[in-house]
Amino acid sequence: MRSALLLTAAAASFTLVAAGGQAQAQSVTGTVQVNGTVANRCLFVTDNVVLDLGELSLQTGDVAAIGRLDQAKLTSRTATLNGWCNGVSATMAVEAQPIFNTSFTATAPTGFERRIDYTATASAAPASGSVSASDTTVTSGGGSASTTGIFASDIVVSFADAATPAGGRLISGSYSGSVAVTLAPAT
Amino acid sequence: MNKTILIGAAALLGLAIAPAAMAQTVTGTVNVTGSVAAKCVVITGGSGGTFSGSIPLGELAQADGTLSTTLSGSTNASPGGSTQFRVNCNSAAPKVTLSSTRLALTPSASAPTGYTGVIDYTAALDAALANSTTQTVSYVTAAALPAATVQNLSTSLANSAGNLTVKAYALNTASGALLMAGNYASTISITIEPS
Amino acid sequence: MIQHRTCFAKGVTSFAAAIAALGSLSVATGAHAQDPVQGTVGLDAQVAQVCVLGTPNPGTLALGQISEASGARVGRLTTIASQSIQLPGTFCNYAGAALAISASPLAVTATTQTGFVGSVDYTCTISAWGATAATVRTSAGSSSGTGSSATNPAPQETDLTLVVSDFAVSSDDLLQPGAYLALVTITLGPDAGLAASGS
Repeated sequence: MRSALLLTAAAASFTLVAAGGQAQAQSVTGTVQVNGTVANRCLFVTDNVVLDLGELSLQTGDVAAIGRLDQAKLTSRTATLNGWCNGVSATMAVEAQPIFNTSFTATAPTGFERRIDYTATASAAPASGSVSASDTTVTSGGGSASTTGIFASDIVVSFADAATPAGGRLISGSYSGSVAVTLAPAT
Repeated sequence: MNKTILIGAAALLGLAIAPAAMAQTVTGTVNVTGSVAAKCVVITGGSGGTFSGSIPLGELAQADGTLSTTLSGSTNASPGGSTQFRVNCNSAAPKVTLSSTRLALTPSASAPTGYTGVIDYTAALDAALANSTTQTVSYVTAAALPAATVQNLSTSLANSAGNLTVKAYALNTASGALLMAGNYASTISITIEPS
Repeated sequence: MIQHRTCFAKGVTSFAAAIAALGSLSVATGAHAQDPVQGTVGLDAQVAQVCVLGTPNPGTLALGQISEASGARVGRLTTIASQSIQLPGTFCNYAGAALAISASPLAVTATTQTGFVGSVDYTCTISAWGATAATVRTSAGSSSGTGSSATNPAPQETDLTLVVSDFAVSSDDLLQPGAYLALVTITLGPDAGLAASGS
């Protein structure tokens, strides 16, 4: 009987609410790190130059001077190498070898010479200003290294202090010497 | 006076009882609704809302000191490097935002004449789509960094592993520039929104 | 549920940061320096063969009167002492240079009359150049004489002494009056050619 009191059930509707309440959009963000390295390196673009110095002895002038070393034959010349180093710690060093008579290899008689000593200087041109390194052939071993840092330029090799050990006359023959310029990426 | 009252009561009674005597079916409908929020979520390479990774390119220079021709000649098909992620997005056209910084010497240093410490390149996001195609979203770095690339994917992301591949390729510098020695780094930034 | 997600996100961020840090460490140690490189400047030169004869001192020999003015040998060759000429600082800068002397007889510049002789012979010697002396003796029929040269097996610088001696007339006849002249040529150089000569 109690049911007689009830009114006709009307259509009822209700909404099932999704869990969490209001619907929101969610994004993702990401980062990718790209890495690479460049190793410290040096390279000679022009790595070899041969200087033909010609006749080394004085051939004219005072008789007392004829046959002795004509210094200008070496000191007036330069050789141009070219290279680069890509790192701030790069250095340049020079080791020069005396010019020796390769035709006459015995001990030079009194008054005569078969060896010419000199100082070689290499100069590079980084942006911050010229950097030089030198070596004298009088002492064995190379000269100390100079820091060039990053550079890409000509490397000019020049000569000074050309002299024979005792100032005597040069023995006739073929003469040969060399200068090694070393570029080191990092010490 | 008594007669009057009795008639009233009988009428009331009749009204109350009449409906209860009939049998009736009742029907009702309940509408069930729900919604799924549009969302993207990281599955591999991170979780939740962020992912991260790296692309190591190794030595960038070749023996003559310039940018490796392998890296400068790299393409989307054969990139310098890549890394993969999986992101699930439930929307029909997720929106991708992509940008990158230049690959630069870190810490930076001014470059002497003939040298560079900055490399431009193309950063790309290859999205595997649900229709078995791949859509590439790319960004090319430059001295004046362009605005980020914003692109909607043409359809949903594929529901598969590694559906996002980030690539670096087409590295380039000024012609003949020597690369300064050191470590180079850049950051590719990616945002994927449901819509 | 929201709380749970927040915690997870924090964990992911810190892990990613750790990965990034590890990544940069490996890159730094991987970039090692390349080897040093060397450029070379070659120096080629030569020294030519040269000989220089020291300036003769005296430059000429003035013998004066070479015939006896009186006595038994009047008009015939007198005794002439050995003469020396210095050539200081003579040198050759190569091994095997040869020194040779040629000499013409001391001969009268005018016509010689019959019965008179107009030529005096003498010997030239330089002993300081080689192990053996260079020497030549003049003879009437030859303008240069024949002699032997001296070779030194090493470059040498030395003072040379030219000794002119043994003046004689082969027939010891009367000497034609007049001025007498002789020329001595010293040659120092490769046997095949002449690099220097002095007279």
